[in-house]
Amino acid sequence: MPNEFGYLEFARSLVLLGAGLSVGTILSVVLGNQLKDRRFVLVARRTMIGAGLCTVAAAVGLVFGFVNGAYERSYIFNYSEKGLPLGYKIAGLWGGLDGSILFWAGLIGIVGMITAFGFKRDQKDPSGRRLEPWVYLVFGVIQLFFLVVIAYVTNPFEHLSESIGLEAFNRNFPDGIVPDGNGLNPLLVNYWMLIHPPCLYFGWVVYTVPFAYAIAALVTGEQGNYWITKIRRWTMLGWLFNTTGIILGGLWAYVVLGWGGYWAWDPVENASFLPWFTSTALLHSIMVQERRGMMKAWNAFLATATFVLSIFGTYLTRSGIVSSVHAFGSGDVGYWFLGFLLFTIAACLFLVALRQPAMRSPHRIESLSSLEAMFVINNLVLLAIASCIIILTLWPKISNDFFGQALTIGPPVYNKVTIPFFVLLLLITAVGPAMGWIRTSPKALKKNLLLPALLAIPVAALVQFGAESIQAGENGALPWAKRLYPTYIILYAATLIVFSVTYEVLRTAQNRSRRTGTGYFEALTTLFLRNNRRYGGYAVHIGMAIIATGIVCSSMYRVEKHFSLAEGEQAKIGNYEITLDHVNMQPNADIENNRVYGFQALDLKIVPKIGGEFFMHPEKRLYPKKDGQVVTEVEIHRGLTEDLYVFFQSTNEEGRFNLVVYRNPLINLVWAGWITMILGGIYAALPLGRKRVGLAD
Amino acid sequence: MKIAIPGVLILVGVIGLITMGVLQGAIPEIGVDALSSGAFDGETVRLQGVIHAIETDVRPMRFTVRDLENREMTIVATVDDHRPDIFKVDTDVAVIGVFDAKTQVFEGTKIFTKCPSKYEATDSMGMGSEAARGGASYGDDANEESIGQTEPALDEKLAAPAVQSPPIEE
Repeated sequence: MPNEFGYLEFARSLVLLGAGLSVGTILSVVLGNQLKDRRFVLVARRTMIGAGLCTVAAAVGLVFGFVNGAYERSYIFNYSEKGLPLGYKIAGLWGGLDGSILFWAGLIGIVGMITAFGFKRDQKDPSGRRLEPWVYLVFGVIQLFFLVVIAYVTNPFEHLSESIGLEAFNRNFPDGIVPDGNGLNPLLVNYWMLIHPPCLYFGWVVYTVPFAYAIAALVTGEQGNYWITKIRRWTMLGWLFNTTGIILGGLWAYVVLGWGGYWAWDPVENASFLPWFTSTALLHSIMVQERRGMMKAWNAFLATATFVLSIFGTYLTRSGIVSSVHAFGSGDVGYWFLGFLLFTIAACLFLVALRQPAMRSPHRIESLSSLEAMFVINNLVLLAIASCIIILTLWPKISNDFFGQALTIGPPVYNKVTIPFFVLLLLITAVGPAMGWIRTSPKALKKNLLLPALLAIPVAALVQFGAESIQAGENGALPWAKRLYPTYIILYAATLIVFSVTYEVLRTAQNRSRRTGTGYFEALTTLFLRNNRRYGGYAVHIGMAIIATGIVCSSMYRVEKHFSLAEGEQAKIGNYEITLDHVNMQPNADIENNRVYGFQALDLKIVPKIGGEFFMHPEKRLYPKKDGQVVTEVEIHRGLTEDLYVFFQSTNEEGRFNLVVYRNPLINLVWAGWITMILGGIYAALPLGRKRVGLAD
Repeated sequence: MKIAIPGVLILVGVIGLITMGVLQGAIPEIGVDALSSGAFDGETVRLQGVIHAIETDVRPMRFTVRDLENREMTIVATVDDHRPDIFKVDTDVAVIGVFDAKTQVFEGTKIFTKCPSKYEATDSMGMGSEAARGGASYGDDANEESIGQTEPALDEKLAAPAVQSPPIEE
C-alpha cells in the first residue's frame, strides 16, 4: 500500500532523523569551539552516536524488508525475489546502488560509534580531548552527506508507485500487493557476493577514522604521537578488509565470469585498488613518524588521500564518465560524490598548507641508505602506481575532452606502465629488512643482503623452470625477452623478499641468542612475540611475494585451448584427456522454489595421465525472469600445481558443444599469498609486544 | 633534498611510461557514425553501439551494430571471441577490431557487453543504455522494433520456460 506507515516508512524517517542529528553534531562542535564550552563536545558525541544508530536501524529495516518480501518497494522489487535463499535476500542490501549507499552509511555509523566510545575512554589524555570534537565534526559532515544522498538521490525505500507512478502501479497491482520481485541478478547469486562487497565497503569505511583523526590533527595543530598511534590500528584494519575485498573480487571474477582470469584493469577493479596503495603507504610512513617524528603532514595527507580515493571510486563507478565492461548506475549521484570529493580535497589541501610549517620535523633524512629513506621511496612508488592507474582509468575522458578523441586503454597498457613500478616496489620490499634507521653502512648492507641476493638467483630460475614444466610448452615457448622481463625479474624480486626476510629473522635470533645466552628457538619465539608489528609486517611482505609469483606464473604460463565436442568425443589438454560423456538438459530446474531456471549441463569425464578420473559439469542456465538472461556456470578443478578451468561457451549449429579450457599454473599461490598477508596483518595489529620509544624522543 | 633525486626519477618514470603506453596501446573509441566516415579504415578501434540484429551467435559471431544516437545507422560486425552471456538484441556492446572498407564489415577480436555487477544494471559502459535514453523501460518491449532474430541461446526446450516474470506496464 503506497501510503501505509509500516516499518519501512519508519526506517525512511530514521534517515531524515539521522541527518538532523548529524547537523546537531556539526553545530555542537562549532558552538563549543566558539563558546569554549566542553559540554558541547558531549552533545556532539551523543548526536553522532544517535545519527549512527538511526542509520544502522534504517539499514536493518531495509534488510527486514528484503527478508519479509516487501516487493512494493522499488529497490527490493529490483534486487530480490521469493525464491532466493535467505543469505542472498540479506545481500540485496548491497546488491544495488541505493542499498549499497545505505549500507556504507550504516557502516560509517558503526565505526563512528566505536570511535566515540574510544574517546569516552581516553578522556584523561589531553591530546585526545583536543582532537575529539574535530573528529566528531568530520564524522558529522560525512554522515550528513551520505544521509542527504540517501534521502534525496538514492532512496532505497522508494515505493513502486513513486518510481513508476501511482496510476501504473494501480493498473499493475489493483489490490496493492506486489507478489514477487524481479530477483537478484543471477551473476550475483554466488557465495562471494555475501562476503566480497561487505569486506570492500567495510575497508573503505574504516579509512574514515584515520581521515577524521588526520583532519582533527591538522585543525588543532596537534604535534604529539597520539593521533598517529590511534590511526595505525584503524588503517591496518581498513587495509586488511580492503585487501580481502580486492582478492575476493578477483576470486569472484575467476569463478563466475568464465574468462579464466581474475583481474582485467576494469575501472571498477581499479576503484577498489586505489585506496589500497595510499593506505599501504600510510602504514609504512606511520613508522617514520613514530620512530623519527618526521612526515606528520605527509601522513595527514595520506590518510586524507586514502579516504578521498574511496569516495573517488564511488564517483568513478557511478558517474558514467568512463567506459567499463561492468554495468554502472549513472545519474545525479555521481555529481554529488564529485562535489563532496572536491570539497574534501580543497579542505585538506588548505589545512595541510596551513599547518605544514608547524608540523615540520627537526629531523632530516640523513642518508638514502636508511630505513626511513626506503619508506619514503616506497611511498613514492606506491603513489606513482596509484597515479598511473588514475590517469589511465580517466584517459578516455581526458583524451576526449582535451584532444577531441576518446582513447580507450586496455590491460596491456596498464601492465606496461605499472609493472616496472611493481618490480621496483618488490625490490624495495626486499632491501628494507637489510636497512637500519638513520644510516646503513655499505659494509652492513653487503653483509645483510649479499647472501639472499645470490641465493635468489638460482631459486627464482628454479621456480620459473617449474612453471614452464607445468605448462610443458603447450602454448608455444615464451620468447626469451619475456622470460627475462617481466617473468624472471619479478620471480627474482619475489624470491629475494623471502630470502632477505628469512635471513634477517635468523640473524637477529642468533644475535639475541648469543647476547642473552638463551637457546636459539627461545630467542626466536621471544623476537616474534615482542616485535609482532615487525614480524607480522614481514609475513605480509612474504604474502606479497607469493602473490607476485602466482600472478606472474599463472598469467605468463597459462594455457588456453578451444574444443568443439559432440557426445562421446575426446580432446586432450596437457596431461588431461577430456571426454564429453553426456549432455544433461532441464528446461525448468528449480521451479519448486519459484526461482526458475533451465540448464544445459555437460558431463565431462577427465582422465589425468597420472591415473584416476574425475568429472566436471560446466553448464549454462537460462533465467526467464531476468529477461531470458543466460549465465554460464564455470567448472574449476583445483590442483596443487594448476587449475583446470572449463568454460562452456556455446552450442554450434551442428549440435556440437564449444568449450574453452584453461590450465592456470600456480594460480593457487595468489590465494595462498592473500591468506599469508591477512594472517601477517592480523598478527601485526595485535596488541602484543613492548611499547617502543621513537628515536626522535 | 636527498630524497628529491629518487622522487624526480619516479616522476619522470610515471610521465615516460604513461606517454609510451598511451602512444603505443591506446585505441580510439568510436561510434558507428564515425566508422562510416572512413576516417578509421584499417585502424584498430573500439566500436561502441547497440546490438541491432543477430545473424549468428556462435563463434565467430555475426551481427549488426547500430549507432547509439542515430538508430538508422548500422554496420555488420563479425567477432572471433568468446560469446558473452548477455549477447542479445538491444544490448549495449563494445567491439575491438578493424573496419574493412572493401567488405564493409567490422572484424572484431574482442567483444564486451553489459556485464551486470553489484551496481546498477541500467547503464553499461558509461554510454547511457537504451532504457536510460528513453527507450525501454517498465513494460516496454525492448525487442519490439528490432529487426532480425533474437538470440537462440540454448536448446529450444529451454527457450520456452513454463513460468515467466509478471510484466509491469507503465
